[in-house]
Order: sequence, then C-alpha cells, then structure tokens
Amino acid sequence: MRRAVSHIDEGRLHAWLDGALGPESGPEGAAMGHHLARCEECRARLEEASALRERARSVLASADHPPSEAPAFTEIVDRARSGARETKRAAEPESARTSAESARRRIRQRTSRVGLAWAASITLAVGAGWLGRELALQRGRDLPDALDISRKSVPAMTEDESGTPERFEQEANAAESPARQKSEAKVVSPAEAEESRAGRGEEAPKLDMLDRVDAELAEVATPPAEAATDEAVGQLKNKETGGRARFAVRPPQSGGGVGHSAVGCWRVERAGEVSGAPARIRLTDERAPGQDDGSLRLETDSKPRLTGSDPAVWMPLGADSVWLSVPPRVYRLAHRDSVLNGLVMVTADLDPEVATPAEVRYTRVECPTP
Amino acid sequence: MSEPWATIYGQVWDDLVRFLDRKVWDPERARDLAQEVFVRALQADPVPDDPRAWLFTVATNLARDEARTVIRRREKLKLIRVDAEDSESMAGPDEELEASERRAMVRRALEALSERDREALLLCEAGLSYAEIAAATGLSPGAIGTTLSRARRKLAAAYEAAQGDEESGVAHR
Repeated sequence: MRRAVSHIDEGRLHAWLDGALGPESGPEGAAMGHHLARCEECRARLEEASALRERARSVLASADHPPSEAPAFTEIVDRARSGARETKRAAEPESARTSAESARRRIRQRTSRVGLAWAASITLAVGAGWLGRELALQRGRDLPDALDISRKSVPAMTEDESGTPERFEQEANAAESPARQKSEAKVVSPAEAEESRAGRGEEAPKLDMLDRVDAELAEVATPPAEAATDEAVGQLKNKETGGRARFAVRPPQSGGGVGHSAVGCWRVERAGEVSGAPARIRLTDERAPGQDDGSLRLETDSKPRLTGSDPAVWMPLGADSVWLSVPPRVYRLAHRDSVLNGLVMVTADLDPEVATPAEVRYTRVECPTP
Repeated sequence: MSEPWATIYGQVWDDLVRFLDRKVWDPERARDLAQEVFVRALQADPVPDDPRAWLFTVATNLARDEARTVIRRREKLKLIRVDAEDSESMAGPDEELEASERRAMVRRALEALSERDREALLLCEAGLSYAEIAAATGLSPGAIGTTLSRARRKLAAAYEAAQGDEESGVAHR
C-alpha cells in the first residue's frame, strides 16, 4: 500500500508497533521515526493503530485458558525415539478427564477403522519442469534447454502457493488415462512405462503387493495404445493423459500397522542433465469419506529435507492436494493414525505443459531400515 | 540433536499451545498437538534454519489436519459439549458459561478473517517476528504489517458484531 502521499501507511504503523520497524531498524525505520516526530496526523493514527492492536490482543486473550504446564522434555524425546506413535500419546497420563477423552477418541478411531472397506489413493504429480507449453513444444525433447528453465522456475513455483491449485486442478481433470508399469515394482513416467512395457511384456511382478492390486489397477490404468511412440508421448501425454502413470501398493505386512508406518518407498530420478533438479510432486488424497481416518504423506530421511512449503504435510482423508518440490532421492510414503490394511494408489502426474515427461522416473525400492 | 529444541521447548510451549488452541478450540487436543510438533522437531533432520517458524508451520499443518478430521467426526462436537457440562459443575455455572460463550464469540470473530490474515495474526500473537511470520506463511516480510492491520481491524469489528448479537439475544449455536 505505497502511496504518493508521504504519510505512513497503516501496515507500517503496525510494523512499528510490533517492533518490526523502529528508529534503529535501518533507513526505513529511521525515516519513519523522523516523520512521526513532526507529523501530528501520523502520530494520531499511530495511537489509533495501537488501540486497535491492543483491542485485538485482548479479544484473543479473552478466550484463552490458563497456561498449562509443559510435559517434561524427556517425555517428548522418548516419544520421538519410539517413533512417535499416536497410540502412545493417547495413552499418556495427564488428568483423569484427559484420559477419558483420549479413551473416547481411541474408541472412536477404532470403531471407525474396523470393518470398513478401505481404499486409498494418492496422486504423485510430478512436473518435470516449468517451461511454458509453447516453449516446450517448440523445443521438443531438447532436454538441456528445458533443464535450465526448469531449474530456475521450480523454486519460484514452490513459493507461489496461490497460483498452483487451479492450474493443477485442470490437470487433474484432464488426466484420465493413466499409463502403468507393473513389472518388478518399477514405476516410471508414462513414456518410460510404455517403452519398458513394450520391452518386457507381462513379466511377473516380483513384489506381490503389486500383483495383488493388478485387478484394481487394470480398471483405472489402461493406457492408450498409441501413446507408445515417442512423438505421441510428448503431446498425447500432456494433452490427453496429463502424463500420468498410476501404480499401486499394499502395506508391507498384511494387516498394516497402527501409528506412523511406511507404506512404500520410491526413488525419484530425473534423466540427463536435470538429474539434480527438484521435481514437483503432488500428493492428493482420493480416499472416499468413511473409508479410513489415517493421514498419508511423502517424506525423506536424506538431506536436505523436503523443500515444499510445508515441512510436515500429513494428508488426511479428504484433504486438498499438496505440492512439494522434491530433489531426486528416495521417498517414503508414510501413513499414520489408523490401521492401514488396504490398497494405496499412487499416481504419478506430469505437468501438462511439460513436453518431456520421460525425464522423471519413479522406481519402487525397499524401504531403508531406520 | 535435542539440545537447541530443549531450550526452545521451554520458551515456546505456552505460545504454541495457545496458538493451537485458537485453531482447534480444544485445550487438551492443543496440548497433544503441541507435543506432536516437538516430536516432529526432534525427528527433523537437519534442524531447520528457522526453528520457531518451522514449529509453527508444523503446528498449522497439524491443526489443519485436525480441523478436517473434526469436520468428519461430528460426534466430537457432542463430546465437547459434554465436557463443557462436566466442567461447569467444577467452576461455578455462571462463570463457566460466560467463559464458553466468550470463547465461542472469539472463535466466530476469528473465523470471519481470511485464512491468510488469521494465520498472520495468530503467529504474531504467538510472539513470532515479522521475519518468522513471513517464513511460516510465505507472505513477503513487507506485507506482514498490512496483513496484520487488516486482520486486527476485522477481528475487532467481528467481535463487536458478535457481542452485539449476543446482547440482543440472538442465539448462535
């Protein structure tokens, strides 16, 4: 709200009151101090802003409960070591009332888990780069050029949360014919899925979890046959399939686990010179209400951490999708808050505007033992 | 790895619980979530550059998850009501009733804000600096003051409106 008038705008008055601007805080603060010293109007407005600030503060404070004592830090450390199981927290003694509440909560969770047909689906959407569509088409599969641009654009996109949702809404709607790859638990982008399918035929999968979900998979994931050629890939993918590859897993042990458990792990790689650049991954929860209460998220042990806007994104049932910028490495799909015993669908999407979908590859890997 | 967090834990606990309570409106759940936030912190590798902003971002995410869960679990509302009745007998019915009405009004007033404004305001009230608020919300540091001034104005107005309704006997529950 910069104005031509030299009076201090409301935002700056609040910054002043909050201590973000001050006579000592650099040229802007110093100038503001000088102005306040000689401008009666601004001083009056500062007083008003101050009263408003106090008013807002007291409104909020009027709803507060008295502060409660923090649990011993060692308790937190223990929980962190023991894998931070939700169930443990629920069992922690606090007050009688809390225990009762926790117990009720546990019972509620348990009853909602039992006997429910369960299916979960996650969309891993990967933008292989952020070049504009025209540019991409013009350059075709010229990777190095694309790379350059994508590297610059990814961080910007990461920060721009407001712009992404509707953009990918379209993509999600557009992507209806996912490609798949079932052999050897390897999941690749559509282009590669097509290539390697052609190469290996219907080779038996080594991971039975994949085997078991084949039926479900076939229903949703039959790719268009004509997508097999390279030329078709670049455009067909983007236009008609959204560059989507779908694959599915079951939890490592049948019966799943309560608490925070890994569902499966993938290595995300990028081809050629982009290999170091982050990919954009979208998690979308597609479970239907009533199926499961648990949350799902993508996480990694490697450094640096996930660099999405959210350091810890748990996708609860019915949540919106979340975008993460993920450097190529192994990621773990984790689940918590309920028994995971059903199918999890993972869908890899490529940004519809990117013409080189083959540059991102997912490979299912054994989860590293912690 | 727990060293820096141990210090921050002591400094931030009250603010964090209050922050979470203003989101989930359930003090016990707010405590649970605050603990969960620190469990995540201890598991975070490497330690984030801006630990406080990181903590509150995680808290925001957890609270958001929580809110969605609560929407699905309608019965939770009943529980809260039962709890409120339980505690009434402990603390004198009138005071307790007044407190829970006031809490409901504050909640309504906060809900009148846009998510971005509310977030910035709650973070600011939790003691975060503008730089930290910017890190946690993705707003530019220069926009925080304007955002806060709008948030405060709106909160005060919405609360007054709620009070007016309350006094004129309009039921809101």
